[in-house]
Amino acid sequence: MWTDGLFAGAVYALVALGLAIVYQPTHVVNFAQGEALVLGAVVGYEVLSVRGWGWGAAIAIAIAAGAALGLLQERAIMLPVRLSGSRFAWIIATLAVALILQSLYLINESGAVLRPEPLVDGAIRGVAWQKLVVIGAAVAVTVGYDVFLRRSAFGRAVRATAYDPGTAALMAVPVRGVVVFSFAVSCAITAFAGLLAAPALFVGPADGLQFAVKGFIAAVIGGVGSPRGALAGGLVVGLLDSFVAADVDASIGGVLVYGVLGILLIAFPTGLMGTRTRSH
Amino acid sequence: MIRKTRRAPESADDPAEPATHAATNLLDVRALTVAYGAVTACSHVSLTVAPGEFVALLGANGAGKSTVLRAVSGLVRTGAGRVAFGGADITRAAPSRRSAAGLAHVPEGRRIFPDLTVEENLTLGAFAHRRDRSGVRRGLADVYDLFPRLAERRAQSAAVLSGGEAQALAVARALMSRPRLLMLDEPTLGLDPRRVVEVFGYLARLRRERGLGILLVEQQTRVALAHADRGYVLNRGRLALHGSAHELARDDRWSAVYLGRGGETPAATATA
Amino acid sequence: MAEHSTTRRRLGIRTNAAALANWYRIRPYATGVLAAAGIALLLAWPDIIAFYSWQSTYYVKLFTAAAVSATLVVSLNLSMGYGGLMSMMHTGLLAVGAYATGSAAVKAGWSPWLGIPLSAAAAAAVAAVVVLASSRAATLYFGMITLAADLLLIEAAQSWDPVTGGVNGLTDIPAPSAMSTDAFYYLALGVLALACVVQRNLVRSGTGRAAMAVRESPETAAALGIRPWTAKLRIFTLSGALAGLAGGLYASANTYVSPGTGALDNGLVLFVGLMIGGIGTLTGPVLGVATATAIDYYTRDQGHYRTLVLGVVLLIAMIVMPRGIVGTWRATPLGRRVTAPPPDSVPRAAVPESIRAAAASAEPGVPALRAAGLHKSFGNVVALDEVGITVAAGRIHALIGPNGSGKSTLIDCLTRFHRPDAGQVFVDGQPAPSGPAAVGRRGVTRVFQVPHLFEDVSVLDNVLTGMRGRERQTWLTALLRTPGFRDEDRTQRAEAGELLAFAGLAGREEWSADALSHGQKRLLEVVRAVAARPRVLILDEPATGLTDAEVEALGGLLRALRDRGLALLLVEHNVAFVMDVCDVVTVLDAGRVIAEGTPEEVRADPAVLAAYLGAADSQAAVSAEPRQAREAREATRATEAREPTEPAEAP
Repeated sequence: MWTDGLFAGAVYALVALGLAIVYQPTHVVNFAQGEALVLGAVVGYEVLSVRGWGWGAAIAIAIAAGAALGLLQERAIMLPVRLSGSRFAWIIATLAVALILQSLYLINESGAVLRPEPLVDGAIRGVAWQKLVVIGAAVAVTVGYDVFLRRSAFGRAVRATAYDPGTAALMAVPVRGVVVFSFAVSCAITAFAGLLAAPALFVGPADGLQFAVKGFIAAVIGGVGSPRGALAGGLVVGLLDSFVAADVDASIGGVLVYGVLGILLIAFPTGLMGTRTRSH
Repeated sequence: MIRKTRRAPESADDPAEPATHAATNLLDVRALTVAYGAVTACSHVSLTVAPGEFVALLGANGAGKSTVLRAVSGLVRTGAGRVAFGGADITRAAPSRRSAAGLAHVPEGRRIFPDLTVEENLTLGAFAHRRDRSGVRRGLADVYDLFPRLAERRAQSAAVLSGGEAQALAVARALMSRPRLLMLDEPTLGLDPRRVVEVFGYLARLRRERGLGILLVEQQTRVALAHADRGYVLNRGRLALHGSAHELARDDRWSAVYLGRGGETPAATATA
Repeated sequence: MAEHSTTRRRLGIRTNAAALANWYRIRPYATGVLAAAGIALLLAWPDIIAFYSWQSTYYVKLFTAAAVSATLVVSLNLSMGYGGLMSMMHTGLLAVGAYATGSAAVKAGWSPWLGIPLSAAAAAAVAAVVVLASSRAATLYFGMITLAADLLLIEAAQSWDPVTGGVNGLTDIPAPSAMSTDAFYYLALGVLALACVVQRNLVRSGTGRAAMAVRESPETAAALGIRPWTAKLRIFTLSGALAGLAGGLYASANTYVSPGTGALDNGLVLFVGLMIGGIGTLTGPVLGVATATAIDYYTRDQGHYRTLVLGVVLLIAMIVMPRGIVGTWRATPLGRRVTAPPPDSVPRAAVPESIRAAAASAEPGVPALRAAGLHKSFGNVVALDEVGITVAAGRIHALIGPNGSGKSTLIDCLTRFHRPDAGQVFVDGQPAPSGPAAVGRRGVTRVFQVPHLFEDVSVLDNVLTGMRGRERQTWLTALLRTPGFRDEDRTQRAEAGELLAFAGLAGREEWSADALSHGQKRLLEVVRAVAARPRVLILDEPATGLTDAEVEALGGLLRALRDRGLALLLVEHNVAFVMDVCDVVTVLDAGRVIAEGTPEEVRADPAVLAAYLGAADSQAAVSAEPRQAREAREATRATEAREPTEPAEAP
């Protein structure tokens, strides 16, 4: 029970981390983030179940494909956002990209069960190893990204760009490059999460948007500012989801999670996602 | 992006600088025009800064001073005119390229990163040289030597600095990029007079010890002219006066620049 | 302008002035004929298709569904296009409407004739609750709250079994009076027509203009006496009602409703309709839905490729024609609204009767606006220190001072955009009310430093927005266009025309405001503020960026206003202009009043020049000026985005 909640929470946390990474420099909430998760599951299925190349290849391919998807998303989202000038461009562009990818998955993978064999088989005390692997990976990736932000020169540049792109440019930081990098890294992380989670979690080809929304809730609860917030938010959402669903009623669980989101948004109209909301 | 300068034909209404200076100038701005939408912020502004020279850019609120700096560092797009730095045309170069080439801009309001510590702010300034780790360390030692109070606060968040310390950090961060020209936008704004004296003190020292060229935008006209070699005065987006600091300080047209004279705009009166 | 010429080049159109003039003459007829043909086609559709196809029912239902979608997109357009309120819950509102009709029919056995109005009411109530709950939220946040609301609605639909039928939803929802397919089609068409009329009437009324004003700038709207919150509530609730209507029809048309009806995925087709047609235009939603329906129809056998094509088309449309079909058409020379070259209009000598200060309630001798002992600090730095100012009717009063001396803070305190820490503000001898919109309604109107015109709106509508505060008619009479509303509308238009003529903007009433030059825009802003018929007009740097001739025209306008008894308070950096036009000058430095008097007196005051030049001898200055006061400069500078030295960087 606890582990189920933590496992689901770890997946949400990794999606939330991806959302936060893109949001920081662009102020775009990327509703196509969940599609990277599905991509990871698709890669897992194709590489492991269909071709049987093994986990090493699957991880490498998932990360590479995720990064490539990130580059593609950057073009498909940021170009309309820059050119359209509408303040709603970002939401419409990210939704469009999400649904385009969703239909591509449906076209190519319809009927396939995206459930490859796990990296580590078996279970300990009734808990599948794979779930523990995902929880561990979520912690490792979050800590890793946090360290990258704090310790490396490029990480500092990313933080500076998130705060003030103009001044960051004065420091010789290639702001455009930071945006492209953020999309690539965020989608690579999310695809990696999708690959690891797929053996233990049903990821359908059309589930991307739903994961993006859950990840978004996690990000809002944790505060979009930091990787650690994403992790905490994800775990809270996962636990809330699984406990309420088990104890009360599955659908009341949904009402509760979304209700918490609504109340948080209403109670902190400017606080949660940083005070500098840029309008597109 | 940085190309060798090709001499552009001199525009007729641009008598500001003789062409012979161009070869020796560190910064050479010619007939710069910048507009924000329909509003022209500055037009036909020409100015130069020689290596190691201290130049003040003065004028009232809204005269277009900050816009000139922002155009030189690439934060706003130039409408017309040319900007050359160290003999290379940088009119269309990305801001990050300009910074890497040795052009440092301390923007209005300092713009330090409060989410980062003092030392992180400083190392970010050296972003272009990030692979040269020992060089960055030397740079840090140098600026800590220059601003001992920053050394004391190196591990603290930049958000807790006082006004004078924040200004010092902004300048120190700019120095970390190993500039040849330092552009400062109203560094004394909000500082009490003692700190103002301090700012001009370290500017003089930087120039003396490192041979930095300095382009200073300032409202505290008298102090600026007391320290600068030359000055330019903008009025409503156009160059109104320019000359040596000594001459400008004695000029009796200041009242016209700031307080007007019966509807006559100084831009129309003269160029010294 | 640049856009016009590039479009022209791209289309390879050699514009010929005479041909264009001819085209402008016949254009109203051409568009009229086109619209009539379109309407005739829609009306005759069941007969036409019955003649050509064996499956006529399918095609009539296709058009019915499109009409329902179009109604929903019109509703979304009201919210997002005109109200500027990002909504991700319109599919949810559709579901609310569908469930209301469906549940009333299936569970309670009501006729859909009762159910459909119930749908409108239910969805309007949900929309109102969302606005009420999120009154403080900014654009992005409002969108996120609507997303949460949408998710909640879906979950509620799944769990509220007795009413919604749970995850399976409701089936066998009847059409009203067991209508035939054709009759139901006409009903849907009728509702669409109703939605279009509501949209048009609303947009051309004070209620709609208020919403557009709030969309462009809540501050400017408040300064004109518009309460942003009320405007948002009205437009979003009305939008909800229309979405509910669409939902009621949706339930009857499809005979079922399920929680999936409210899913965000279904919103894509709405966004396609809105963005392709042209957001914030009257006809855009209908054209957009027609396009989206056509795409959907021609890809109907392609399975998942339908969404793919729709998504790709949407992305490409955003890049290629960011303003949609209608917006792109208007950007071409053939479609642009400005049809005649500008008449050479000079400011009229006669001052129109409508320019007069609102009747003062207090006895003569009481200043129109007075502040005493104002004190304001941000953190531990003092921005205003014991500032008093008295602005009399029939005077132009200037406020000058170096950067960061506290001018904008003072204005913010006077107009209640900031709350002073100490001190009082009096309007006509009475204590000023506490909110900016309330101060606006008391006759203190403000023109901001950064132009906040409603750019996509006509010049005339901009002026009419200024009259919002003294309108008598309500949103309901506006929707119905009652005789009383029309009367007021006519009077307002006539008055606005006079004002524009006086400011030298005659003949440009129907231009969209973004076609004006910068100087004309500033004049229009002043005219708009005057239209509110204020007693006190506060102008923040009105002369910035104007040419000399425009500065002169502005000066003439201000003098005329003064002669009509207005009190004018002017913050300005163009000192020549200030000295030329003002009666009284107050000089602020470091949060204190350092001089006050006629322009000559102030100019002769050595303290004033010293304040601008800064002290030469810093040590002397240390004793002369308290540190705190000087640090206040930075504080005001840092806290006030409205007082930059130069215009803000264009995004």
